[in-house]
Amino acid sequence: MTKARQLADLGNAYDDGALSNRNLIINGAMQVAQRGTSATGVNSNGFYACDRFEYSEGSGGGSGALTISQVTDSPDGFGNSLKLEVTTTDTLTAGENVGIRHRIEGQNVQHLAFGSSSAKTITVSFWVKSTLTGTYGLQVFSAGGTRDILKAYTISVADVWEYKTLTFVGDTNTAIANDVNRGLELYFPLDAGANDIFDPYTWASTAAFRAPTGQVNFMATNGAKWKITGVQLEVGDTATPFEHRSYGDELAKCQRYYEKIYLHDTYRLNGVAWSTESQNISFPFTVTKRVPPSLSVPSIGQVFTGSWVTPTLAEVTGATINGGTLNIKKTGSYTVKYGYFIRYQDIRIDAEL
Amino acid sequence: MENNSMNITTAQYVADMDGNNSSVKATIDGQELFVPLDPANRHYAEILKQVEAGDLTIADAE
Repeated sequence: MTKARQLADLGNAYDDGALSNRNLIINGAMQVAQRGTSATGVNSNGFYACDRFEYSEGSGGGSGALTISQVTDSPDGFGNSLKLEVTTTDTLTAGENVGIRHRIEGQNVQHLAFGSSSAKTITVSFWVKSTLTGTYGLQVFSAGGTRDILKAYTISVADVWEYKTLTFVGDTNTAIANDVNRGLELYFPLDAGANDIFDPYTWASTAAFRAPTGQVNFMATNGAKWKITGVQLEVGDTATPFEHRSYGDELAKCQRYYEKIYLHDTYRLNGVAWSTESQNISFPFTVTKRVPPSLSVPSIGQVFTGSWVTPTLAEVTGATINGGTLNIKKTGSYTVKYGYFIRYQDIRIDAEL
Repeated sequence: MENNSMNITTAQYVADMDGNNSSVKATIDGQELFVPLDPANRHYAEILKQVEAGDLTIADAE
């Protein structure tokens, strides 16, 4: 890209209202992987490696399985990518789908002016690499998933990073609610049954996962790999250079939706017993959550009752967008109004869209 | 078709120290989660949906 072209593109970005915070995607460079860097045997919806990018299946998604990882293979200027690799093959049928999606809160896309005659054109750019060449798709959902548009892109050469840009006109038909719920969603189909294969189309109300005519049947090839990074969604009809953010900034953005807290020996909490078997420990979240989150405590850790012992049970008795309350139970071990330290609890906090 | 459904196999209220129901302990897609009683939470919204459809019952707190 020439310097003149870059300046012209930045001029366009300025005209579209953003020289910073252009990228509406969180973790587009796949830097953050709070849940872990690899998951094997994946065959159901969920977040498995890079934050904010969810593996999604439609109508069950078939019987195949994948390994999903954060890897360091990436184009120049990036340090990570998200990798999907088929480990159990399947031929998808009927309305089955497999893909990756990324959801954005409605309140963060109000400037797109969807639902009005001023609806803004948007452009998605990304780096992609696959062992399987051919046609792939990108579907954009709007208005809580009720409206969508589909385009196709081509991977021309196997196992080589390729840069793709796709531009979508704004949806003048339906507004995006100004709230914390799903406003806009990108869906990268990797495979689909025949019922969900369509020629690319403009805004419609299908409320269904779709893939373009000619879509590669990714799940049919054992060992097939698809990698993606540098995902950017911005206002305008031109893709500008990827807007890199620091790891700390990106992590904080991710933590609005998911956070892990691990109590170490050097980071204990303490609560107060309210019965001989229960004590409450309230703790703040690092980042205010999108909505009151669901919590899990896969490791119940230890409690100090004169010596470190394993609790009977750890449960969560409440959570707001700012923090939660644990109830660490140890039958017959507490004195009411006394305080007790806890450590080694593993707490997962989920406020995903 | 797009699929936002969750496989919820158990659901039971959790009471706070005052005896009030404060969350639901549920097994969702094989994971034990404590879900706040707030319809903006996607897990609680799905629990309510499945309860309304008659597919799920929330047990009383212990």
